[in-house]
Amino acid sequence: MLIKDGRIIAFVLLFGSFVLYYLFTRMMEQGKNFKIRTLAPLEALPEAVGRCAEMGRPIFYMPGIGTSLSLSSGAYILAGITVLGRLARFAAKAGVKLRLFTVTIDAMPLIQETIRNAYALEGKVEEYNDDDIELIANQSSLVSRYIGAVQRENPAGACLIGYLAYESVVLAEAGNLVGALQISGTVNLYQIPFLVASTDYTLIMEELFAAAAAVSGDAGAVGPIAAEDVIKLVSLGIMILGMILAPIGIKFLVNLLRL
Amino acid sequence: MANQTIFDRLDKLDRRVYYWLIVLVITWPLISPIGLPITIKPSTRALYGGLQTVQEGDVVLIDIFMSVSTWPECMGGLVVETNTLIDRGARLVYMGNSVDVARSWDRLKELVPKLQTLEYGEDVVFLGYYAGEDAAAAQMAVDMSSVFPADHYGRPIAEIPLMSDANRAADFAMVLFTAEGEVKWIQQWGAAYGVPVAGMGIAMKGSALAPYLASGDIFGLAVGVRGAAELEALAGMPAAATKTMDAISSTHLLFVILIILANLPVIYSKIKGGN
Amino acid sequence: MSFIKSTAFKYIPILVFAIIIADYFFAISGLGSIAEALRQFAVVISNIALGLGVISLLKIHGKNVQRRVEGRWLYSIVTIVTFLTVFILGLINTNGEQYQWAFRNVYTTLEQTMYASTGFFIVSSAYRAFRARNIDAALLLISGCIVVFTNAPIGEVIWSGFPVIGDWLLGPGQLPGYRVLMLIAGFGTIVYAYRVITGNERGFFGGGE
Repeated sequence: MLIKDGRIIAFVLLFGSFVLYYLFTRMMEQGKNFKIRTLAPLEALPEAVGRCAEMGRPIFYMPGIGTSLSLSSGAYILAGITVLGRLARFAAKAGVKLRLFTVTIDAMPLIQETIRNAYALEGKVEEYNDDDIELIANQSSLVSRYIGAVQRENPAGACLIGYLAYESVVLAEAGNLVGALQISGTVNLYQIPFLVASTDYTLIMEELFAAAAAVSGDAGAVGPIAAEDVIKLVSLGIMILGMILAPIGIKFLVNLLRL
Repeated sequence: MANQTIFDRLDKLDRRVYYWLIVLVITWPLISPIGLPITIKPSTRALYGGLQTVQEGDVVLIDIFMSVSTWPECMGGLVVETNTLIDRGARLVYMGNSVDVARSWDRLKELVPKLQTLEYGEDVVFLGYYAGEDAAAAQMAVDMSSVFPADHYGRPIAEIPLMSDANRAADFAMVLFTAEGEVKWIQQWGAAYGVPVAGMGIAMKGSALAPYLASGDIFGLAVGVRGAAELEALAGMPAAATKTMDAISSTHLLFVILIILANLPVIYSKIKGGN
Repeated sequence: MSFIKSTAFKYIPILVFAIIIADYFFAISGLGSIAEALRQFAVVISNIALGLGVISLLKIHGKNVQRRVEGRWLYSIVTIVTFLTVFILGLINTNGEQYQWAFRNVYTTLEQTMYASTGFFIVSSAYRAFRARNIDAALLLISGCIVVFTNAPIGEVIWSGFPVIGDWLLGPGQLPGYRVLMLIAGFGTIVYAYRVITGNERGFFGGGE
């Protein structure tokens, strides 16, 4: 057998998803209009930057911990960096200092390139400063460095978007102490209650990816998000069918999914 | 200021007040323990039961994901796991992708004197730090030596007898995670090669790990200090985690009291017809 | 750089993705070793990244000292001196008494202190935000308190029903919602991966352009 045992259905579902993503992208390119609903945290980015500009204070960004090479954190970090790109453009335009703190060593070149590019797109590449991006050794060092920077530099806005762990509540509370408008987002579900409680806007779970798509807004980004809704409906159908079949002893679906 | 009611004051209570209260309620039970009984949760029992199924000579991988900061939550459980596995005659392979894993290993050796009696290289190996998360776990599943050419002490892996029997996922009887990092083992070893996975999570992760337990992706789970104390109770070796449980009780009680106090102004304003 | 950005960044992810995915699903001889090499690259890159971290640390703090940045340069000296001391001790012998002393008495203590501070921040966050302003918030609050009492032995002493309800909340009560969110996050990750490998997700190179 060419396909490994136990991975046939997984392959069919993955391949089927990709076909759907492609079809929806094509549909959008041919004029079909799909829209991503307004995401309040994304809409709040210019508000946060505007607030910083008015008060003459910097805006902070923390793209989470983890590594961009990891399955469990990589995609979230990259999606967070996409949002960072948009924030950096707003900041460059408004002349607001953007300060970034990260422990994600392997994402540093991406982060630097993203911010530099954003400044270049706003014609202000000379205002980009590598020193505003700080790479910190580990999670706990990040916590102390960030809290210290918040106390000393008094940011009027802060974004905590990416793969967040225990530091989320500490950093968000530090921001609260200085009255910063805070926007957060993570797919790390067990941190979401802390973020909802401590920050003004939160991108919950998949909204982080939707936000990354909404930033570019073109067919290649939005089309697959629309296709995802179809996949969710199909999954829901499979689950309902399973709920009906399992109690009456029909194991066809379970066996099929195990193929 | 003079017109402030008690509810206004509660609403704007200085955070330093409850910070000091926390210090007090943590310190007091540590100085004067009460010894409240602990009920053992089925998930912890399942973890301990799983350890009891290990046969003599089985190789068990223990991923010390915890950093030194999470020792109070997870070290107690790791000590019980290690003692139990040594008693079962298992051969143990330790590693971790926390940068301070060597410090955790040293602390573990201090807390489990039995580890010193095992023959290093035959019965126990410490491979040290690894980077790369999922990619590393996936690679270890097919060729351990490509991720760890040598152990923590620089001894080539080819010269370590235990590792000649444990170079890929299929050679291991189970994987135990510590604190976090469970997903890579569930996906890259459990789902892909059928290796049983279980472990301990920090308290924050309790709800996040519950779905994996319910779906059978992990066979057992101990959560936070309480999980460690439950393991200590099961193994009949009460230690640090058991002693900490009174402080857990007092802080949790304070937490609920503070939430009730914080809500009094809300209830008062609702009664008065405000927002 | 423009070639790298326009071409390499577009096609390298597709190639790597194709090989790794093919290795996962298909039994094709020879493919396994290529996938293995790629995974090893990932591990090697992660290790190189650690070195990058050291360079960045020294660069940032070195500049602070050089420019006498107000409020920072003295701390930067402490950071650099500490780094160099531990680094040199480690080079001499990582199992040596001096290196172990620094690890045991400085690093361990500081790490544990920072992590422990979470407890304080959770309480202040909860005190400010956990208000029963409406029926949903009130239900959430009550559930939270029950779970708190489930995890602490004192809960059972106060009322034996706390662990029963709490375990239900942590099990059947939260599992369906949690699973749905995990599932959706999985879908989101796949869509994101698709956008990256097809070159449609380049937002992380500056504002979507």
